Amino acid sequence: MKITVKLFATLRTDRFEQDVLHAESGTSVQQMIDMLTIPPDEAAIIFVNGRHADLRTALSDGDTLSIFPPIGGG
Amino acid sequence: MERDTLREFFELHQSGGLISLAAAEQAMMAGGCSLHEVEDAALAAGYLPRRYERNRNLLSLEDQLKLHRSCVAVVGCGGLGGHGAEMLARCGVGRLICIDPDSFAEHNLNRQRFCTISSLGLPKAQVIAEELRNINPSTLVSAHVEAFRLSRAAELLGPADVVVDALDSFDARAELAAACSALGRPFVHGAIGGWYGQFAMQAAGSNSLGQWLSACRGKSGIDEQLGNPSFTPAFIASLQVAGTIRILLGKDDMAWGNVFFCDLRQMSFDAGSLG
Repeated sequence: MKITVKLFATLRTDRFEQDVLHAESGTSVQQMIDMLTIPPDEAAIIFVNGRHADLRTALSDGDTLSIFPPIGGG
Repeated sequence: MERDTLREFFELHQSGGLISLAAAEQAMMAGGCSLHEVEDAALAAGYLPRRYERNRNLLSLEDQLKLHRSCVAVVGCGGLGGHGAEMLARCGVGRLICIDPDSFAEHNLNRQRFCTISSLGLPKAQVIAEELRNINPSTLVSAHVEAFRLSRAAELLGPADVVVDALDSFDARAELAAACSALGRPFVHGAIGGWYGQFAMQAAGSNSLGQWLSACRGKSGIDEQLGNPSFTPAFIASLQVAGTIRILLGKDDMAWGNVFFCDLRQMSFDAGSLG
């Protein structure tokens, strides 16, 4: 299946802004994050098709996965 | 001075429906009441303090009176909190509660609204309260030089209609969001890191943001490596103030439960739903 992956802010460094990745059917958000070598602490907000999703969410063909790093300053 | 006497005074001293600060101060001296009370009476009688003349086409008299009778807690008085408190006071929010344990340090000079050479070493919350008296003397500001703690939540946040999150750690934010949920107060979140910032609002009684912030406990934000420039806190604070004003005026809000993510480096803006 094809998953559009959008990365934000510091997650783009040495990766990409947006790309279409191929993954096996049933791949979870966590598996995609591992494939992208994003350390667990660097993924704070995860959206699938614009809605909040957790690491166990199984992706479907055509989904858009957006990953944002933690922003904590004030 | 009785309200009726004040009404006559305003009628005599108004110009195009506006009351100047000098006239309001005259009424204050004659009536032995505070400027906050005089302007409340003026707005209730249909007269607008001249300070708000440029709000006139955006906010009705009723809106302006509603803001005057509102109270907002600004938790954290650094980059976001300083800009936020100033904008809320300039809009005419009648009461502010500013909470922060820290004093201004040299490394705050690059971004914090009330950090100046002469305020270095002074408590942030207190400096903001004093400076705001010089910007909008009818806004009553209470300063609390202490860290936000759950045990003090009811006392500190109880009088607030809306709580603005201008803190700088996930742990403190998660506690504040949970406290707002328990107290039934809307919670307006903002956070910054380098060129990036985010904004979200949690409705009274909901804890959708609190749950997400709680899941981030212990994570260190990208701000710890990137630092923060002058423009990101001002930008995110503007979103927080616009959101807060919307809540206070009871506008139907499309923003509840959404997270807005702003990338000022690439000028790209994204949103998603936490619900």
